[in-house]
Amino acid sequence: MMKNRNKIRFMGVSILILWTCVPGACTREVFGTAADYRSVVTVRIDEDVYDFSNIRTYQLVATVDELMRRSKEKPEPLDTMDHTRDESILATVEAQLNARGLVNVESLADETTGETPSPDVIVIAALLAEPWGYEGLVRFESFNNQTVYYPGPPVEMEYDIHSVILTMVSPSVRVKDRPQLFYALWSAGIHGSYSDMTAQTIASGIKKAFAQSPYIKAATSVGGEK
Amino acid sequence: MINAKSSPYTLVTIFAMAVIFAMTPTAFAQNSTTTPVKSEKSAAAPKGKSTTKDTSSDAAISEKKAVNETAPADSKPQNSPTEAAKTEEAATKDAPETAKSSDDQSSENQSSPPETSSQASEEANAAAKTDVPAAAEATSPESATAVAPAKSSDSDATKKETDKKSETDNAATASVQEKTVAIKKATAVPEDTLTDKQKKAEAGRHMFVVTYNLARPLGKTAKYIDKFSFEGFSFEYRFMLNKQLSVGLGFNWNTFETKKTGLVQLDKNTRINGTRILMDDLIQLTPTVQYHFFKQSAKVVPFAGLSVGPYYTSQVVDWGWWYQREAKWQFGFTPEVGLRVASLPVPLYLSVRYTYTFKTDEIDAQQAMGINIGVAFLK
Repeated sequence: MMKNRNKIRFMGVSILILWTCVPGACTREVFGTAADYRSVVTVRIDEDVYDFSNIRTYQLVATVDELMRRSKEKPEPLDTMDHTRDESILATVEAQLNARGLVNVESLADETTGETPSPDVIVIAALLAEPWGYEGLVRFESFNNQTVYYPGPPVEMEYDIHSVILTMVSPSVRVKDRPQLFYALWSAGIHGSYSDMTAQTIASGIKKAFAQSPYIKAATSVGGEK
Repeated sequence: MINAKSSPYTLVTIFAMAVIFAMTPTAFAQNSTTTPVKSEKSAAAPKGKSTTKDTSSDAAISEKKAVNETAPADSKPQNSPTEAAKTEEAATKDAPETAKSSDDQSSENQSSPPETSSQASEEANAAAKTDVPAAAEATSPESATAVAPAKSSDSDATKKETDKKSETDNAATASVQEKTVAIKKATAVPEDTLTDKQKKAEAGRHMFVVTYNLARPLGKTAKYIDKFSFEGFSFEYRFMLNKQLSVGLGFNWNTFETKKTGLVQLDKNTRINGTRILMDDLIQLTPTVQYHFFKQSAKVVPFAGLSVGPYYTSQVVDWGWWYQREAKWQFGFTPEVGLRVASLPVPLYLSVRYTYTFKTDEIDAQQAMGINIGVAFLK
């Protein structure tokens, strides 16, 4: 009698537990498609540290570098990045900056000397070859042939591999009376799975990044005075 | 009151009632012994009257009654007064015999009514054929004195007959009652076992509750996640302080989950546009108190309870490649109403809970209405 009762109790509890796993009743939300992984992240420094309304000119670094940790243990990047979209990335970024009234300092170069004025901001595009966080531990070697660390985003953020990273820095920002060229003012991460990322989706992501950063715009009209 | 003028329908009705009465002893078990006595008393009530006419008429009535009862089909209505008088006289004259015969035949009446009725008819006819002076004699004082013992013997006979009948009825009633008791004993749930169960249920002091929880977010929680939750469970231990009041410790978990797409301002410096999964976990480990409206021996025990204490709230935004999490302790309370169906082999537990946690610096006040289905064992 007691055994039968225990059986019934056991069955009752089992049914109860199994019912909790009925498909549809408690299906967990999951990221099903590659599009689910697409995200555009924008972060900026506090406005009391840098006033974005004073931007007038910019300099766009002409190459798209790979961001990765390089050390003695890991001399080479773990993954080979696809650079066939670099031109598309740079063109899209430039178009977006121009569309907001910012002037590329290259267009203001002295015809005789070829020197360019110091830009208000420098914009750098890069591909993330490995997961990366806000800590500026990724070595960025392509700028003026100097070994420097790529600036981390101004707000704590971690990006996954294959993300396109846009970073805006300012030579005028000083920390402890020293210019901190690679102190990020603004950062954008265009995230997506490697197989899903195409030139079109990347361009769409870059446009979104600027659209959700309305504070990036020229203080005056193109060619005008501040 | 039964008298000579009573219509045959009245008598038939009384007879039918008597039959029904006899056939339903259990329904009128208490009245079965008293009713015949009453009728007997009412029949014997004129006994005290001294007038010969009345006495003779009573005797005749008793005789007629006996005849009617034994042979209602053969009894003929006496329309003419002469015939009635003749019948009365004959009945008076033959009363002892008739009473005797009816007394003797009382036991046979039910088995052979046709014979009895024919006998009574013959006697009645014989009485009718008796000389008229005999009838005159019957009106004389001598005959009155002669009739008196006849009347008393007639009443005794009727009384005996009624007693016998009531004894028979009582015997039948007793046998039917015995049968009814036997049937009840055979079909009813053993009372001893039920009592043991009830005693055991009432003696149980430790209750273990396991439930599957469904919940709907409310308030700020619904603004964060507006989707009904099918995920959650709870464990609870209750100690019965007495038969209706219990205290315990409960662990309750509810999780809310939804998938959204769009632009989100995470903070003043951060914006994310994309697909994300939002999760909100409400976990409580709180002391509880319940009042059970019935004792635990009842088949269904409704109750009302309250939990007050710390709640652990965890809110996660998962972007697939990155997630954001806020997890803090909050103070809250949960009133609960429900019922425990103890009569089932697996004692069912159903309840409705409302949860409210107070706002902290990092996390808004949380609200949810939950439905809990499970089992509750009492040991």
